[in-house]
Amino acid sequence: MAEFLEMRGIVKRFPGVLALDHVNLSVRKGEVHALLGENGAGKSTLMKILSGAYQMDEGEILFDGQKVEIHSAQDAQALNISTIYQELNLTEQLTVAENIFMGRQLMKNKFQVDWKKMYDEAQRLLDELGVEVNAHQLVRDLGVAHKQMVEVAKALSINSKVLILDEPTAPLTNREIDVLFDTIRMLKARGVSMIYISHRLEEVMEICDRATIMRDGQNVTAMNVADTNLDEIIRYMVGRELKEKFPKIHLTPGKERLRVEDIHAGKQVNGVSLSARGGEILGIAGLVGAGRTETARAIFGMDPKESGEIYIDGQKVTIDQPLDAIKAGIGFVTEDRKGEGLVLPLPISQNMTLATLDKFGSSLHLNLGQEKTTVNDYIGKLNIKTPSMLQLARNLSGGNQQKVVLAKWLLSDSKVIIFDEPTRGIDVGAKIEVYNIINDLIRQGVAVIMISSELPEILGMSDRVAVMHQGEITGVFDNDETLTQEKILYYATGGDKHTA
Amino acid sequence: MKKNIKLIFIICLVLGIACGALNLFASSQRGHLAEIEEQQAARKKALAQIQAADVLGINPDDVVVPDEVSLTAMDKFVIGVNNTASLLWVLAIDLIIIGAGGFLYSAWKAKQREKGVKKLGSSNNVLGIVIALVALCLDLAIASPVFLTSSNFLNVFQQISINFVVAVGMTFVIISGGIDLSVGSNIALSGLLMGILMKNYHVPVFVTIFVCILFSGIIGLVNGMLISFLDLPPFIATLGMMSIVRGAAYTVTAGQPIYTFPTGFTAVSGRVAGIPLWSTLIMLAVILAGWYILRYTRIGRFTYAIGGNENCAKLSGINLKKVKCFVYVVSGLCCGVAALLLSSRLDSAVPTNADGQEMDAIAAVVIGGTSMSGGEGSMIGTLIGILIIGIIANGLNLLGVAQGPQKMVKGLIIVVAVIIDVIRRKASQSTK
Repeated sequence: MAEFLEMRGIVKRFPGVLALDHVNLSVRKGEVHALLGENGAGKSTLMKILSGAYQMDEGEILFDGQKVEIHSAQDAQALNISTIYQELNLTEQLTVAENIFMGRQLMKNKFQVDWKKMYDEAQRLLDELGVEVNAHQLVRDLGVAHKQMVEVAKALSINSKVLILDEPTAPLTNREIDVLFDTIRMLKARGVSMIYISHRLEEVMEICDRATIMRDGQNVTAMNVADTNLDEIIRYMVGRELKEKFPKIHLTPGKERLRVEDIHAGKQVNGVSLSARGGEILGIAGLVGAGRTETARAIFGMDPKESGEIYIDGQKVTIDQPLDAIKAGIGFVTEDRKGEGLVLPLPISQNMTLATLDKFGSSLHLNLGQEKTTVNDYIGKLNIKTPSMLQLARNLSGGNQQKVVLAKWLLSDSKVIIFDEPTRGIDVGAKIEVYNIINDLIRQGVAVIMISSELPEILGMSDRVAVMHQGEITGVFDNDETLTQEKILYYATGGDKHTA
Repeated sequence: MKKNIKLIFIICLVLGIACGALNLFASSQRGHLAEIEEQQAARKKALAQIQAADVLGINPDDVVVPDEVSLTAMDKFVIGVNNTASLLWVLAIDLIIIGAGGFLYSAWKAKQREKGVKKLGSSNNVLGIVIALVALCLDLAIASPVFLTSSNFLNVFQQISINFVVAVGMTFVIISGGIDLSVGSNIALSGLLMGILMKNYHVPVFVTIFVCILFSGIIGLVNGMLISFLDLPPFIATLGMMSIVRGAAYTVTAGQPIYTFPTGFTAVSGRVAGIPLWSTLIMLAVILAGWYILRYTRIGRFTYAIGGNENCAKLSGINLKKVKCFVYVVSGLCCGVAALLLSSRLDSAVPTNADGQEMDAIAAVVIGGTSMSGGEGSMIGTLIGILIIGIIANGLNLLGVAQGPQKMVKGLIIVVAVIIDVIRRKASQSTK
């Protein structure tokens, strides 16, 4: 089959760094092509060149056999290349149809927008995708999955020939992923070529035809997905064999450290009770919108709760704000690293010690020397790759940023730490390091609660698993061989309520 | 793009060196010019003698008239250069500083990058404005002979003292992601209150000072509470407060100024051995305290955190309301101190005092590299920003620029400073 899009010998230099070193990528018509690599391998840079955000220094791009120049986002658009970013690019206050036709409104004449035609057309696109969204709805009222479908509809409406999907499944639940994959298959049948970037290799195996693997700004290999397996891909990506993806350790759980009784908070948390013992990992599974994050936020005092009691080491504690939770010995690694986990314009050091400044000198005099020693200690311990502790958090890669957030809570000597999607958006190697950090914590007798949308992660790391559905816990299970993904999904979609 | 910038630096350097060389050449020709002038003078003298002899009726035969000196084009040019020497020197120095500074900066940055450091804090912003400050001083030293005199320095010092104190407080507010527009009104009302207490109620000077600074702090506290407890946008809350307080200042004395304060009060701005000792000490204390709090205290660290990311700050157990109230109280207290300095210096308090003070303070902070979006900035930057604003105002005065154009220049500088801030922000985001 002929190559539809070819990028040949692409070189991109950033001051002092060779970001792309003669990279090749070729995508055929109507194929789903996976672009794989650890964070920092150069995937995003390559895609930014294709979408016109960056300019390459050397190399050429062939589109349908023709050499083309892409100097701006407009150039890319003219070639019908669209990108759906992880952070969606929609205007929240406008309707679905307005977003789909943003900047290209259908006009009756020079001055009048043809609203009816625009809404009809938008609705037709959405129906075609099989999405239950009304074109008149405001985007801010939609869930993440539906927002993403609006982006897909937008791409369809401009008749995209090449669609770049950057981590499209990260915010989605399993069922929503299935819908997305159906859509991808449909687009494929229409001859749309897709470049698929994801850290979830299982999905790549499922949906992609071929894969190009990058490491350190260079091509490692390109292959047919059908001819390979997960282990081989991981080996190419990290350049070394990973013994196991989940370094699970089994400890004898100690006494109960956290007990939560009948918490109600807003619509999303309806009477949640759970307990976690020292030395164990309690996984919380569920679909997006099941109320997992909301439960964690209510426990931690980020959001107000209507009722419910929290006990730490058997002592009842009152938590009205995060400060109370921290004082009680709870830590919370949020899922939104950039939005809530880090102060991006501040250096690593100040981010790490933000929650525990009272440990460094008095409130009227910070002991900067002591802070420096501690921070450097943790940079070494957690293997954070940075030239200096003064590096700004915004300049770190995702994995290293996550380690800074972890360090912040490790410093707090918490008794209970809640991890919300601890490995989202970070690469395979860094994931293992995060798991090892969690293992160290339970060795020290900390109770760990791990919220995750990735079932393999839940099954791979948890000692017990609590499953949530519509703000309630529908089941708590020991993680033994009787617990399967299917069983979790059964409870995540309502469990015994199915029969009731 | 990169090449273009290099080219600009090279052009600057070449032009700068050319201007400098021209000046040097012109001044080396002074001897030759003096000769020409001497010859011209001799001819003039002879001609005058002939004329005088003519008038007196004496035969002027014995007077030898020297030939007229013919000025070559070169000579004319050199004379022209000498007449505009100061302007050319300014140009030469500026161009050389831009060129050399540009190269040194990129070399320094490349070296940092070799070490793998992308950007460390705000140190390089401060470096840029220090260079600007030095260039400014050199220019003025050449352009105006008065600039480098000690009396002028004292003058500059006195002119900046109000803005100095206010900008320190404003630095806190802006780093926390807010803004305080009520500073000018706060100073005016606090100054009037000092006058009323001392003149009408004969309150002792020290008590007055204490009460009024506290009062200014309370105005700040009200700002902070409106912003933190009622979630008003800082711009709106302090805009309202600006008008309320200014109105109050007009109301308390029915628009009348208050004159002649007790000597104990005016002594604050008085000079000891020719130096405004007390006001200097007060300014030093304010900026040192500001610097210390931002760098070495928990609440200073929290100020950066809430400006950088409020959600993360809350999640890290920081009491947002407390920190927000704190920064506006600091700003208010600084206004109180500024009111003390201003009223004691003028020996009067007027409701229109410190009108537009907020603009000067914000400008100083922004020029000092503090980001309007919060989370970044330093006291040292603010200090340099204050000096730049003060010296520019002083320079324009020395050069006899009218008030109107002065305001325009000041506005221009603010806009340019913010443009630089925006460009820097974009650059740091795209290198990520």
